[in-house]
Amino acid sequence: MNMLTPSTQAILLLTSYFSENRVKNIIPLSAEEWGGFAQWLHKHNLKPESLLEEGIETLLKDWSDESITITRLQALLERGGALALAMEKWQRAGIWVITRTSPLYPQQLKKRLQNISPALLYGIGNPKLLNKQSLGVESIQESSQEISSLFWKAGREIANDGYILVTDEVNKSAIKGALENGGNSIVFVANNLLQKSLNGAYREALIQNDLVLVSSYYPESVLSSNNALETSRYIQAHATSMVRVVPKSKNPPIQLSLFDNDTQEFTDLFFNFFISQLQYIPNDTFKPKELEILFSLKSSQITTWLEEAQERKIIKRLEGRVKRYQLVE
Amino acid sequence: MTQNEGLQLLRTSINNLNAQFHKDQWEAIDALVNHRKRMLVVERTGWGKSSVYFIATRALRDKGFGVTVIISPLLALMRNQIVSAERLGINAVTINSTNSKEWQLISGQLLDNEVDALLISPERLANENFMETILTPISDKIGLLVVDEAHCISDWGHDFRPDYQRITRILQQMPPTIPILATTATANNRVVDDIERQIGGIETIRGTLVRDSLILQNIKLSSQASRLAWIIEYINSIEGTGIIYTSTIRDAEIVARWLQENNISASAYHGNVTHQDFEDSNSYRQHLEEQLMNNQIKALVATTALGMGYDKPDLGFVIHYQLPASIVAYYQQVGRAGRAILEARGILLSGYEDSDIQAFFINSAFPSEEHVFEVLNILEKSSGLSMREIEGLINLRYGQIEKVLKYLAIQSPSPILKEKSKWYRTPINYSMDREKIAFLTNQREEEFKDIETYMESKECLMRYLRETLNDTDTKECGKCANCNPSNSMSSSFSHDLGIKASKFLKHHAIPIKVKKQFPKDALIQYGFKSTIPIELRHEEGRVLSKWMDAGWGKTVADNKHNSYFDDELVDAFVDMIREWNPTPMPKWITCVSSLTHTQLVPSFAQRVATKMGLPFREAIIKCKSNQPQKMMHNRFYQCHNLDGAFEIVDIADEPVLLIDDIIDSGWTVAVLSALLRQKGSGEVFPVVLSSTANG
Repeated sequence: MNMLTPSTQAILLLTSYFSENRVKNIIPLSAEEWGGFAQWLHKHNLKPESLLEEGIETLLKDWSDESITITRLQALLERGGALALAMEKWQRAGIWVITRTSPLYPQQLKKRLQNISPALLYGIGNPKLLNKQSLGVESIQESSQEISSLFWKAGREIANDGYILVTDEVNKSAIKGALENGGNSIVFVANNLLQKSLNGAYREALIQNDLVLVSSYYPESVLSSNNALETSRYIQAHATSMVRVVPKSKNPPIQLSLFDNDTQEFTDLFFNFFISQLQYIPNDTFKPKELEILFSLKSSQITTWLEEAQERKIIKRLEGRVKRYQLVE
Repeated sequence: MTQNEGLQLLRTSINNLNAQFHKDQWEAIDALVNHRKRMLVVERTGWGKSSVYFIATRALRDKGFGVTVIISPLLALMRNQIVSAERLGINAVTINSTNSKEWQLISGQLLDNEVDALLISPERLANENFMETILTPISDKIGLLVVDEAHCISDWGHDFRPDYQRITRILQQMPPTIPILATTATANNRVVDDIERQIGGIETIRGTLVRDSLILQNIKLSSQASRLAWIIEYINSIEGTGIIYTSTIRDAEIVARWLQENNISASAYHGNVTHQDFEDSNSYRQHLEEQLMNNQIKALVATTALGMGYDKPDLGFVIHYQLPASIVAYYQQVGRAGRAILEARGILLSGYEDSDIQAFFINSAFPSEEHVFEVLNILEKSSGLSMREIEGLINLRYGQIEKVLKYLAIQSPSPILKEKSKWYRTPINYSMDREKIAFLTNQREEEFKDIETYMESKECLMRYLRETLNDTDTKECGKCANCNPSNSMSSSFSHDLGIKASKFLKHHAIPIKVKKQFPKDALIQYGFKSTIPIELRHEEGRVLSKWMDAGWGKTVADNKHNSYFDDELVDAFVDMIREWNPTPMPKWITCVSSLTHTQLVPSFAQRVATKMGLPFREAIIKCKSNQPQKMMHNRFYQCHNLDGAFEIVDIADEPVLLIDDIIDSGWTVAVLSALLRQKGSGEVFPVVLSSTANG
């Protein structure tokens, strides 16, 4: 069993809920609040665990903040009983927790989100996956058979290319696609990590260290709309590049965007996947507009990409399909 | 809080203006209240542990801290404790299964911060409902955590209790902001070291174990009959009231009944004990505890269920009917006697069955690997199963499944988790910790050997115990049977009493309880629904013996092996029925039939019928060869195995005795009775030679 360090205990007390049944007016610090407060502590040569000792009034005599009051901090820190009860249960279920200072914490999140990267991550499964380079898949929901099959393939391609799939729990087909093809996956969970960890579909992969479920919310949290939005932010921050699908009512039915998450430009990391999708496009030839909508590309991006692709001698792998596009143009 | 303020609280709480702190009491309070430390306090019962935590509670509450949570195996706070808490203005409440109706009220008081101290049992922590609705909501503000009987935290503790593993892990995750008080009366150096290692940052205060008033004596009396006779011969010569400890529930029942038959007021006390006037076992046990507390009863005949924390200052004696599991366990039990009186007796009896009983306990302490993986297997294939559903899927006894689940659930990480009455397989790669199991098993075997050695000791018995417990003060007591033989009691008893006890052991039929429900969907061919209609149920029945026991059990086993039940069993059986005198009196006799041993039971039943002058009818025909019932391990399989196996012919519409040789779960007689009644027979009274049921 993992004994929590005093530092982790302090951060848990300040930033996490432990149960739905709780004192309603005690509100943990948000990632942003904690980020600011932690910086202040650091500047004043204080460690989070110092707050567990007696007399925090003296320690924090120079601290003043309208929202993060000493009273609020004290009430949060008094929740040691709740912390111990909850952690005992969660650890029994195999759940671990890491803070920003842990070497297991995904460095990508720290780098891209800085102060608003989550103060804590709860997880189950293989934490070592968190620091591998990942490609992301995300959609509003798996609304159709078409999208499911598209995502299964995306998962497969990511696995075949030796990347790790990062996604949310909505995209079950992508996860299956990756795991069934020998790949690994990171799944950001918006709520109730504990209950989701008991899902039989994940069990074998979790036991085999091929999967990690991770959440910035306490393991028994229920959904709030905020959770879902933030989860999406974490996936984008983690992934080197993303496939995002937005269902459209008109033809073509799926809009696919392939972006580098740093430059927000078109990326060839999903090259194979891109090609594999071309054959599913109903028309024999593509109109530029069609490709634009289909893959969310600007005309200029398509040109640049084709040029770069040509330079890298990967154009052959296009199996003549893109040429058809050029013909039309 | 200053020492003087603390002293004022002490004086108020025990209503004595001149009271002084016992050694180390103030030191413990000071460490908890003023320095918010973690303390392990090893002090004998009566030292005043409750004063420490109540005074600390008062002081912490005055400073604005949250409720004190006391985890203790006691069912309720002792009356004197509540009184002293009340004097300090402390509102102390307890939540247990006896007061579930008040939970909501107490929960409201807790949330309104009106409760100062909450007492709960370790088992409560395994109760999801309690954790979710009571403990978790208040856990945002716990002021002090008290863990009683803290020796259970250690693997080296004689009393390895699964629920304490959970407590240990909770303590390990507890941040240093919450002061912790762990208390025990019995811990040797090894146990103290282990607790210190497991609970980081805990400091130990340790007192001496002296119990000057106690006269110890060991008496070896091989047969159970001789020990029963000895107790009757001498119990009234021992002043005051006391406890007689037995190793098994069944022996507690037998000894209590024997005492009652000899006009000595005594009651059995164990984990399953119930009484028609009381709602459940807990409330009845609490009543029994109070009866002994108020000296309304000469003795409680108890298993270790009456144990930890029971503090009666004037307990006059503790007699052990059988050897306990270890010296530490023995000291803890015998140490209850003579706390506030000048003289008390601690008599350790020992007999031939001791090593068998302990070997059984030791070997059945952990579930088998095979059972563990059987349960994990079906959970893996499911998406959550209730206990009843598991029973329907695997052929293991309810108790065996329960043992597996309980063992696995306290592992961390655990391969299973219970959420809202269903068990789930967690995504944890699990293998059984064989090394730890072997270690604990070996540990227990060694401990039992130690007490066997103690039993034979010729030295000062008190010093022997204290040395084993690493007490600092180990001078000779000058009082025990070895130090001062003139203090000892004789080991002989009257011949007549010996014969009477021996007869008694052969004459205590065990009741067969009425079954009210069949497992769902187990008897589809017969068309029986889950609830058994009253008109199809059997009446309460009787069993002559416990398989292999000191009464008739051995004879039944030997006879069965020879495929013939002798006439002495017929005589004993008929005597039992006459003594029992069921009403309405049965007018005919039938028996359970078998395809493999066609004559064994019918021949016996026929002879019983002849002796009783009643007609015998072969009303039951076995029409299907099924698996032996003993291969069926839980209620679903036991019932299902009987579905369609018997047919009823030739009945009479009058009350009947239904005879069988062996009863285990009792489903065979329940199903056959329902069939007999359905065909139009009168009331059915099952009567059986021997029971192989556990317990």
